[in-house]
Amino acid sequence: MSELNPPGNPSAPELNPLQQDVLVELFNMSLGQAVSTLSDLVGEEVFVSLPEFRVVERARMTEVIAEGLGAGVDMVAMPCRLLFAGQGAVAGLALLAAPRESFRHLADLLWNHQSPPAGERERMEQEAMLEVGDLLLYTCASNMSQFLESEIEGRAAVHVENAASMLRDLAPAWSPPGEPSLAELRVRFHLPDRDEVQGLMLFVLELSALPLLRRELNRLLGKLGV
Amino acid sequence: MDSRTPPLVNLEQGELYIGIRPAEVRTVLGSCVSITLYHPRLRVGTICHSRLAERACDQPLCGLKICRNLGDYVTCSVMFMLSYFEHHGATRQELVVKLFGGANMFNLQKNDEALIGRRNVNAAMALIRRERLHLLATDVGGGASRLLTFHTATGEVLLKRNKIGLSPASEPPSPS
Repeated sequence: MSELNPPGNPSAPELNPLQQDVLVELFNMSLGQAVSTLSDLVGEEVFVSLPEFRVVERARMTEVIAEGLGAGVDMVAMPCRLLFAGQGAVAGLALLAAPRESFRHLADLLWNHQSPPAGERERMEQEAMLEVGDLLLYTCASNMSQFLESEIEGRAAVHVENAASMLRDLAPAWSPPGEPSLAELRVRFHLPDRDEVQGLMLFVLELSALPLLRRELNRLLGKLGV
Repeated sequence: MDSRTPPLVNLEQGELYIGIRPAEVRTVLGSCVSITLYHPRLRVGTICHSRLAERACDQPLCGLKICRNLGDYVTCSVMFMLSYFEHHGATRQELVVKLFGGANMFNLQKNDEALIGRRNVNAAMALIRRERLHLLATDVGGGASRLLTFHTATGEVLLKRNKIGLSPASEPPSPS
């Protein structure tokens, strides 16, 4: 078995343990800023889990995202690319996923428990979640991009109607069924004083971009003298 | 005064500051927004205090044109600040960008301040995205005004939130 893919380790075959550690840590630091923004917006502490990295088969991604969140999951997504001058680009999808009820409670906190006009709640909730998602996801992706010394190209965040379709656009069309085709970095967040508010922030990458990412991580490690 | 202490500059609404020499810039934000741009290699920071989102302009910013009330508009201010860095050979991805202000953007009372705060933040985000800038930190929304202190030589921002009414808060400023 290759040292790059130790037995029992679901690591992507393109990243060795050190590269994976660095990537996870960059994500962790990038996320810190985004979570700080969320905490300031809702006026409460936000706890986050340690980041996880794994590769997933595209067809299972939607089910994997919803794992542990229960039924009725809503998502805000921001397609983005990290552009490395003369080297290419890494395409990704930044996602904020939470049970619908969590988004509802987050909206209440944003609104400081004011009540929206009758009949407008759902629309205003979606609007608020889009604005918050946009801030958080762009901040997270920006920090990742800056650490990797790339240029960021991020589209406006959208409410995800069809997660499977968005993920299909990200993964290469030729990826065979049953084969891993997406790499995912994820954290779970929750508000410690409100059990009903929890969710995920994820960064999903096309697996075929990992060789480029590996080169850039090696370059970063070289600059750090590792 | 200690010669190492940078001078203090108070930034009013509609003004912007380019830190050619080190300075400590202070400003108080309600629904207005401030965007700071800092270049680590040049050790130069710029900051604006804009009260309105954008305006239609039949003469797009070119060179170093300074038109009337430029500082009032988020889009005009940021483009002007970017032009300074471009003029000095800095690339966009080297800039550290932070966004503050937009108080009451999530206030459901549809008063002017809530609408203005939201428009300002949304305009800033749209511009940041369009110009492919790295937004590294934000502190927006909420019901408090913000006292910002920006150190132009280091890019550090200290932030203190006040109750609406602009009286100084007792909490110590937190770095951003």
